[in-house]
Amino acid sequence: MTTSKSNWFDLKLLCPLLIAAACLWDAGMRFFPERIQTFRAWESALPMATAEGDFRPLLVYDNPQAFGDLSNLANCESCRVSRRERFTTDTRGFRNPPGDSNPYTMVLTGDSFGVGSSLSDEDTLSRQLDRILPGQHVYNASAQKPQWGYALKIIEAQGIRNSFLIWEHAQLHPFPTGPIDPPLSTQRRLAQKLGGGKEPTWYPAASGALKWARAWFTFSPLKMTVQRGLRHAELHGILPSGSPSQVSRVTLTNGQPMLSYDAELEAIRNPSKPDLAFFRSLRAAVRETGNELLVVLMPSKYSVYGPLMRNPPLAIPASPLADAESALRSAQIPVLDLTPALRRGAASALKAGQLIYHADDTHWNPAGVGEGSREIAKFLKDLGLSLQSKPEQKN
Amino acid sequence: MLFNSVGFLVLFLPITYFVFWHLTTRSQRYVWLTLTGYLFYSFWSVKFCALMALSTAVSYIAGLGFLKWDDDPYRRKLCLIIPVTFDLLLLAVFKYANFTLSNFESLSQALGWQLAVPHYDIVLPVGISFYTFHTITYIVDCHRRVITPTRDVFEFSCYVSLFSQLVAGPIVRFREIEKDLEHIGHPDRDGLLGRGWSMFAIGMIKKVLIADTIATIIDPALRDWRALDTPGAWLCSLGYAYQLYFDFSGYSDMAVGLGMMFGLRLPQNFNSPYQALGIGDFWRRWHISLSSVLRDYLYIPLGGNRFGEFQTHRNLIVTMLLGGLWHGAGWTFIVWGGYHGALLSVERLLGKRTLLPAQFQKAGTFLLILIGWVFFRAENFEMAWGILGRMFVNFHIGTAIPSAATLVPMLLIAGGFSHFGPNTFQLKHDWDVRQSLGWAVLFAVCVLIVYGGKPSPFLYFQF
Repeated sequence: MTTSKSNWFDLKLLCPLLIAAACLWDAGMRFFPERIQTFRAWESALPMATAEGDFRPLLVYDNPQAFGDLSNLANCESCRVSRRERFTTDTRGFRNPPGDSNPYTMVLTGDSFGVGSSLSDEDTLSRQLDRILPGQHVYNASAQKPQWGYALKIIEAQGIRNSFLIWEHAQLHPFPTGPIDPPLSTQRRLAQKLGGGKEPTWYPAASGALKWARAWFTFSPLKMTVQRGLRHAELHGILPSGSPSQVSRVTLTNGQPMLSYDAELEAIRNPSKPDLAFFRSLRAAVRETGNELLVVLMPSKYSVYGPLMRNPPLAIPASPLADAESALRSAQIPVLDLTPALRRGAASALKAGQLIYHADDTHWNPAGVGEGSREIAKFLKDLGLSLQSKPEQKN
Repeated sequence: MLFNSVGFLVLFLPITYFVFWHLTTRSQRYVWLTLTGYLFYSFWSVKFCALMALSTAVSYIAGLGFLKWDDDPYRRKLCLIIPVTFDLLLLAVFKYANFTLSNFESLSQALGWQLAVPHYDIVLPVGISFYTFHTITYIVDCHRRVITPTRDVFEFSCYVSLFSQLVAGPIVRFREIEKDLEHIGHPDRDGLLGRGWSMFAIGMIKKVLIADTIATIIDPALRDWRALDTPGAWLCSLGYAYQLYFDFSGYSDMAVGLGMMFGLRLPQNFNSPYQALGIGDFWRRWHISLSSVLRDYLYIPLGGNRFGEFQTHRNLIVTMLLGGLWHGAGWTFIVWGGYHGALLSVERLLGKRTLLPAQFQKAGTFLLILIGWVFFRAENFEMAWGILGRMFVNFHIGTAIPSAATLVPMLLIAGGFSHFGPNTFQLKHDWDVRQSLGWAVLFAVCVLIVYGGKPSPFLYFQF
């Protein structure tokens, strides 16, 4: 009954060898360009984030045929809009030109809109603000969600004064709550205990090594490749579709098709309310550094294009972010809702058959960022605060 | 941690395997398997490990009690009652407390009482139904003197927490594995290895390629069950019947295969159940380890068939009702159990008076089982009656369920194997080169799917 064969074709050898081969393949693929495994930069940038930021440090991702997250989510080949995407990160794992010696004069923190998902480096909000605001150089400390702690550190490190911390908040996400100083992680608490109440000198190196090990074990290029293969098989009917795509196809008033993310509708139905205590504390912390906080409310695609859709699945309110804006304003927090400007921009672009959000992606396109950055620049000037700030010389 | 996860395949299994075979003594191997069992279990929750350790400790101590008070019937009775009560209490609290309270609340409202019945946020520890049955069968067998209790705490903890059968069985009785545990220190690594890998690979193929593919299509369709037409309802019911069989028997094959890699022979849990000639025959083939436990530890102690026809029918129905309840704290499970109890009872009344050819008996049995699975799968009675109504009463043809074109060939393959093919235990597992390569290709596809996707839990984990 029991097989006594001992050759290469025995399952007791073949099966473990196949598992080992998969491991080796996975390890080996780390040495190939990420573009092979991913359809856009975001998927390549998130794993192996071994520094402070959410992205792999010193990443240079260049894909001439990137396409949008929604066309991927919907697994719709015909919906893809191919574009070049160049995504570079600095040593800290944020999206800034590596080795940029020009001093930074302003900091932007936000989510994927702030990062510039599905945009090339030169089209991101921080770089467009650089071009619009003379003498300014914006550090992009955006990540998957705003990194205020790190943004404050950058302000300190760069000696930025009389300037702004721009906080970009996407409508899709809930506002942060709680204290602005997050509780210490177990890891850090343990280190402080070992260091007799102070953080030991070896902690940054140990924490970095731990982060690197965790990133190495959780990153799987083979997983990405197989997922692409499975989606391809689903697309061609070889495999059944795994899950509902959560993406809707909408038609604009000029007949142009567009993909939209269903979760955005929920954010419109049940809008998140800002925790004013949080923003007051954050503003106080920013002011302590000699700067000002500006909250920029970033509308979702449905909020911008709802009035321009033939049959929107929901009656989109005239001002979907108005409640959040007025709440923040009542708490003396400088706030700018980009919805009116982007709606205007979307309507006028549509007359020329153009879009300001990618048709196949959740995010804005270079034209949309242009509209947004002009509005932000105008608002900053209207605030009347000095925009001629120069970083203080740090010794 | 799941057998069909990357962590298990590339880290847990190789490390557990190589360390195990590098250890030389029986005690070392007991300790190692205990530790790995707890590590395996801790991936669900570390807190649950404490529960399992407690259940293990109580039963182990009771076992020592049986050894100490061999001639003292009173104390032996205590050694039986205390651990069994403890295990049943664990089940009652973690599995049935909220169900009981919510039923009590409904009843009190129906009677017009205004009682404030509390509800607790209790998480069901995965596998609790299985390891408590391991310890209960151990204690009862000790009391019945079927086995001699072990003095080796690690042998016992290794038996309870053995990772391959920890969370979804088979429900291994100590007596079934005792000999292999005694000889666990043997140096023959290759003895069962080939068969073990073969069982594991086939189990994985059953789970990942067949059960999960069917689930991908029928789960969304069943979520929207009101939209099902008659063919859709039939396809979903058949799909679930095959999904459940390939999922659970796939898991059992993997568990048995893993046991063999460590020199432990776990019992067969499925013996081509969809080829059964009747409901009694089905229960001798489906989840054999559970049905034999229910028979030996519930049906027979209730009196079995020894006290006349009425009591026999009563015992059958009570056993199956409790068997249904074991699967989940819900009325649909109880009805499913009661339905099988009633079928067994009717089958007993009819006796062996059947003139139908075997293939018709098999088809009829499968149809009855299929109806039962509708209750087993349904989230509530509305869903169950709705689907049965579409299948048997309200015939209509509407929109086909998505991916029906993929589902139909999958059902034909799954049905072909389960109705006409041999089961994994009937295979010789002595493959020639071509067969080995065929299995290896399918296994490689499974490994890639496991790599690429989120591992899908086995259906029986929820019980």
